[in-house]
Amino acid sequence: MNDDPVIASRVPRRSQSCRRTDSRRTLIVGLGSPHGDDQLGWRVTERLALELASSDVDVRTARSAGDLLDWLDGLERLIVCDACENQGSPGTLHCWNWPAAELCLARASSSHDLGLASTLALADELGRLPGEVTIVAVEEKQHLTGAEMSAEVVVSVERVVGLIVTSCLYDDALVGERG
Amino acid sequence: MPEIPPTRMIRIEALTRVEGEGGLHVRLRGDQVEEVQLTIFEPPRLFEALLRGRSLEDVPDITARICGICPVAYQMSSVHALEAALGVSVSPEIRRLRRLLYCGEWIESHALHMHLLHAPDFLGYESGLAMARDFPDEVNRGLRLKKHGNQLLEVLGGRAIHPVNVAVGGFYRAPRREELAALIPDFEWGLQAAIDTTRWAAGFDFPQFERPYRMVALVHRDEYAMNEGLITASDGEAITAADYERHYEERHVSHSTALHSVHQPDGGAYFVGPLARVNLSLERLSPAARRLADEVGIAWPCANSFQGIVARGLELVHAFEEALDILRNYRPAKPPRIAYEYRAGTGCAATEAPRGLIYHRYCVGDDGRITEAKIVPPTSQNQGQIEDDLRHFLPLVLDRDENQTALACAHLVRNYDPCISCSTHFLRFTLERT
Repeated sequence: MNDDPVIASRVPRRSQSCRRTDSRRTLIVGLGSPHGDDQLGWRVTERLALELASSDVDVRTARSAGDLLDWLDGLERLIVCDACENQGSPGTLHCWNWPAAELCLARASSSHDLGLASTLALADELGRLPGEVTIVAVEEKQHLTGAEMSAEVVVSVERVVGLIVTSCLYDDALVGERG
Repeated sequence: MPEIPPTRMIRIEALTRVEGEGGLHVRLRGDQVEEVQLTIFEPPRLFEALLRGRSLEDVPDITARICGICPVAYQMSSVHALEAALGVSVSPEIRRLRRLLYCGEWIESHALHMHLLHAPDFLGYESGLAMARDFPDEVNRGLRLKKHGNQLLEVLGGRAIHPVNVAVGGFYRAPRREELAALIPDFEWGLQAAIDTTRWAAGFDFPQFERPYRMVALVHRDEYAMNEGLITASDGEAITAADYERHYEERHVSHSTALHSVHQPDGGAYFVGPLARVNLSLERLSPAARRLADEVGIAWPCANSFQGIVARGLELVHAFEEALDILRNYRPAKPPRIAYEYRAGTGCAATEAPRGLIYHRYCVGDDGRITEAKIVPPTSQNQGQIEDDLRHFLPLVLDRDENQTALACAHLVRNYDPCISCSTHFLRFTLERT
């Protein structure tokens, strides 16, 4: 029984015969680094690469949000998975549809100011964003250099994987918490 | 009793569109500039100490982590210095592949800086994002140029950020011909796009601000220097990398965690970067870049740091043209890596990072472990020159309101495309008037 409030409200109770793989050209990007809870995006995409191996969904990892700008051409759907901060208690799962004001709060800046919010805003301004852009974020506890992920964030990896796999396999929109 | 002019202080708390975190503090008495400090408060990263005791094979991958924008510069400098210590000479094929890798880094770094970091200053926008609304084609061009630089780094280096294929003696793996040939159509587009970019930048309105710079860059007899050559100054001094520390010295300054380099014995500031390279090696630019240099309306050598964006554009053209030549004529290096044996020794090398000259020295034990390391990045070398520029530039912009003065100063700093993270080390700006 899935007790995650987000997943519980999203996972459809359907038989396998209802399953239809997302036919839209979808890219899932895990943003992260090797440090503490910032590994979340990478751990999620490692799992997704296995779970979605037989689908047409592309799964990539990135260290810099600016990399996204190289991968947008021809996309119809983009899902970005990242750790966030200042948005709740550690392990809290957020699902935001772009444009998302919360995203700007969650990450202040990055190298050359090309953080995730800036990158998506730039792509949006240039008309290069696909029709559906969703950010799945988990509140981090720490991103200390070389540290392991915190227990609160480790348990969220499977929740995020489940949410995204369900969405991709059943072609459901990843609807944000506020709808 | 004469009236004492009021003190005015200008602060840029966080300079944007630069790599890393730093600030700028200016104190004025009346219209007299009393103090200019480029303050770098990013903590020291202590890479040199971190390398001690590590195997020399680890050095290219560790030093690449100093910067996500110019990792190749650190890798190239370290492998050349270590090869000097070991007495290793690489084959012409490996040498060309290294130039190709450096072309990729120059392309991604120059394209990003010109379009998203520097052009907004000339066109009156606070950011690349704000500029994108009115200049979508130019911003898209910049992003595509950067993408092709990154693609080259991925094919040759294994990945675009912090490549993993560079080894002492060569490369762990030579790319297949078809992998590099697949890049040719995009690089043909890139060459023309780089020419268009340079013409666009040359049309910007440049402040009249010329200084008697001492320009310093590698100069090579036969080619536009990237990995080899004499460290040459615009006053004629030309030295080998082995003599670098006798002529250039890093000094601690109280207001910065980064070291400041000065020329010795005069203790003077000096200028490194694309403008220095073009000034000193104009005739060695690739044919298209050389023709364009004559077309852009600048009398070379150029002493206006604001026109450095045009020099950067010429290097973008050069990098695409040279890369195309290498891609079209590529034969895989066999072997991709020259074998060597450990021996105790010291080796130095200087190469040309996108932002300017970079110097490495390593002492190696007979067990192949590093006993001492010294790394001098370009931004450490430009810091003194940036402060000196600001002292002379500020009187020209002090009649503006404080925000405009701060913006003008930040623009000048960005002429140097400083990489504060590299120098160990966001820019805050403070202007204090008394």
